[in-house]
Amino acid sequence: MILPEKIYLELIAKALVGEISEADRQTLREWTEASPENQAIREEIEAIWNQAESWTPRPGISIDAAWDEFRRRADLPAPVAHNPRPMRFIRMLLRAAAAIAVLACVLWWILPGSGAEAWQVAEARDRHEQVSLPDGSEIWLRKGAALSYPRNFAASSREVQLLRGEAYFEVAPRPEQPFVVRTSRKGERVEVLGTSFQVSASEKNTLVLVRTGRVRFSAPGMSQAIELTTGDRVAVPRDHPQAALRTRVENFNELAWRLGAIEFQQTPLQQALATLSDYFEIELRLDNPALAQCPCSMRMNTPGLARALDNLKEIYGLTATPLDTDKGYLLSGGACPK
Amino acid sequence: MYLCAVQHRPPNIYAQEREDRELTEALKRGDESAMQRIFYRHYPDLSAAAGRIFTDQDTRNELAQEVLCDLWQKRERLDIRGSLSAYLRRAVINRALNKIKAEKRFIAESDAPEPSEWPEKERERIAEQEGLEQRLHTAMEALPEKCRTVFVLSRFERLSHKEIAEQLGISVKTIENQITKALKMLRTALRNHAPLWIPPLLLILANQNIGERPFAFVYQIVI
Repeated sequence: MILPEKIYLELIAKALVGEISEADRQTLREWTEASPENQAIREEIEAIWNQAESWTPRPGISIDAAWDEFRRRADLPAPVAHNPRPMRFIRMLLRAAAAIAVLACVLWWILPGSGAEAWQVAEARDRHEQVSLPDGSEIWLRKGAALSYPRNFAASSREVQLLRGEAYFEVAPRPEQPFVVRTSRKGERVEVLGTSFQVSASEKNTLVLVRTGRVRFSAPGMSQAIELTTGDRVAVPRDHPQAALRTRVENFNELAWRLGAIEFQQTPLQQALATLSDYFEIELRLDNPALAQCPCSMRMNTPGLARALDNLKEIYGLTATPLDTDKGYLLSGGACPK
Repeated sequence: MYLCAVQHRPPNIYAQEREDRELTEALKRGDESAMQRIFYRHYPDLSAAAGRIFTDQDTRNELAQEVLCDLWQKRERLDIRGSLSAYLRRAVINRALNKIKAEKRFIAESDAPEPSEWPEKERERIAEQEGLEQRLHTAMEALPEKCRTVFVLSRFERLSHKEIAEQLGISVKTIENQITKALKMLRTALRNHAPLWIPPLLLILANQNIGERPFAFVYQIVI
């Protein structure tokens, strides 16, 4: 498959930042796999992209001189530290605001909806699907997910409902008309204060992971709504909402299906394989348990399965044999690198 | 065949964030030494972020100074959601964007288009660089200004194409073209680098603690 340079460069760039449509991603994959030359070009461009990270223009003056300049501007020494009473007051106000937000949530659920028209359902059956909303927001449904949304939003807020599965939201900013994601669990909602995040809903639990911006998450059983920002993740089991677990993620591998970026930093190999299994939707079974805790450090962008396996083979000396079930590989042999 | 290791340091992000949070708390109380620690820690990064867009040294340092002065002035009213470094980084990029808009660098799309091939002088200057990294950095700094700015906003500041388009007042298609152009020119700049450069298959982060700081190796296989 031949593509002019301008085209394949554009596709590779889009894939690297995760702004590639599903159709383009297919085209890119076809082009990449069409010949080893294309594969090499792709890797060359990705290497340039990665290597660019090291470009750090120097200030050109010493940091001490810069600090002296700062002192001059800031007119230090500064006045004596104030007592933090003003901050405490502000914190009290915020707590009150959060309580009002929760109350509003409950009322909203109880009161009949106002003005939203007929709801339609978008479903991602055997591939990821993208839904574009009239306000400019984009929603990516992972394979197997389903979302219902109105043809026209109500005046007071933009509401959609995630029926099942994982969905990644990029919300157009519109403070006067907040964006709200509901799940099928009554009273559970994610209110968007910022831009991109993922919600996933299954029978067992609800998960929210924020990529950029801020969301406010509320659910029945929680005493107050919580605000989540970049890197925050909260998992709420359906049966035991009190056991909700809030963590900070070390990477956004859970969003790899959408963003393409997979990163491991000293991750135990077993865990890395679990992430890759989820991404490729196949089983990657580690034969030798001694390798389970081997540290794995890797960064890939929209990898094909072949490339990911090659990387693992190269680093650990593994061999991959297809499993009987035909839905995965057994990775055997190998050793932890020194 | 030998392995040539090029050092590349990613910071340990989450430990740093924890310390930043403590420093911010101290800063809110007017603690000068906290401000100094914050300054020493973040100034280089802020200057670098601005410096990718503004190659002029005075400009990049000025922007970094302004952001940190502003932080100091607002110290009692600070309410930072997320990390301090992200907050400061956003602030310096916003100032950079305002400066671009004020100087009307991008307004007229009908301006004479910037070159999409390297002019002779730049080509020579780049070829003079021996190391791969040096060559890449020289090339990045030599990219046409509009092209480099768009590339930097996407690659380093992770703005979406839509956001860049909005900020600069140009179309998304132009953004995509500029990024493509940047990659094409960078690729050309590195093409004739000797010895034959087989790009690394992936960026391998190998954590080997020297002292207490983790760092990474990029392995290049050179034949």
